[in-house]
Amino acid sequence: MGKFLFAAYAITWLIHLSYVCILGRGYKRIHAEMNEHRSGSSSDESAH
Amino acid sequence: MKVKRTVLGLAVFALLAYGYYLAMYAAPTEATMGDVQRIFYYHVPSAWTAFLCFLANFMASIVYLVKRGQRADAFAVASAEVGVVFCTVVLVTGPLWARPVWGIWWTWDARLTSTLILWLIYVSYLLLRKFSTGGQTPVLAAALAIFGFVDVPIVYFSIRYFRTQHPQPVIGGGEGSALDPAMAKALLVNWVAFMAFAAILLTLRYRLERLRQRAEEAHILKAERADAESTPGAEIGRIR
Repeated sequence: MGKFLFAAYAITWLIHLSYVCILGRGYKRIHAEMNEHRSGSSSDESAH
Repeated sequence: MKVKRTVLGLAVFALLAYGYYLAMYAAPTEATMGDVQRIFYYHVPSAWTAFLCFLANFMASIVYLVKRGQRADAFAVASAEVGVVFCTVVLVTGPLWARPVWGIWWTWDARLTSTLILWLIYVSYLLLRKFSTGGQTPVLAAALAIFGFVDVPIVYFSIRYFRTQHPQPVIGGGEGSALDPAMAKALLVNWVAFMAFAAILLTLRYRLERLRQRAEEAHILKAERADAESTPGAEIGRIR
């Protein structure tokens, strides 16, 4: 395999895997945010 | 449901691996370019997949402008983002093929320039969505997407209507355009595999966007409640 062919295939999968990681981080963040919101609203209710 | 998703993921992975095998080993070596021509099996399917993602974004943007539904908006942003990922692959693999074949990384011909403009349009779409804070952001983004999509047919037909350095189409390019059956098979399998992979990414991004929309709604609701509780009118109302 030539260096250009290897670079093309490697970079293609690097781009795709990076995007999958970005999506994973997005899910993690949004779940943390929603959990925080849920715990915040339940503590509000108990305060009332 | 989880088992179904795992099976689907494994099937797409197997398809991608089969596509890789066809592209690297089963397809014959091109006579003049040699092995570097095999970049074509990732470059072209990525371009076609990006075009379809931008078409999905265009249609979702029209639906959003007509119905103002949050689902259409989520689908629009998901398809634009996945389209940009595949368009990035096109813009990276192209120069990596051009350097050994043309002797240069880049040239400002119609196909290359219009593809770069296409990428810039959708990157600006995503930046608008990320950094604009007004309530009209989805509307402005949808309008940008509709006008931005005009560049897709320009990119597609640029090698037919302009004299470009980019190779002429090998499929549907009229007389003289033909592809070896083994090469055509490798191209088609890789395209199907990339489409399936793009569908998974699109589904994941769509779900993420829907979760983000719900979280935002919850935040607004909470802020409105807090606001209503802090105003004197609301206090009096509660005492009474």
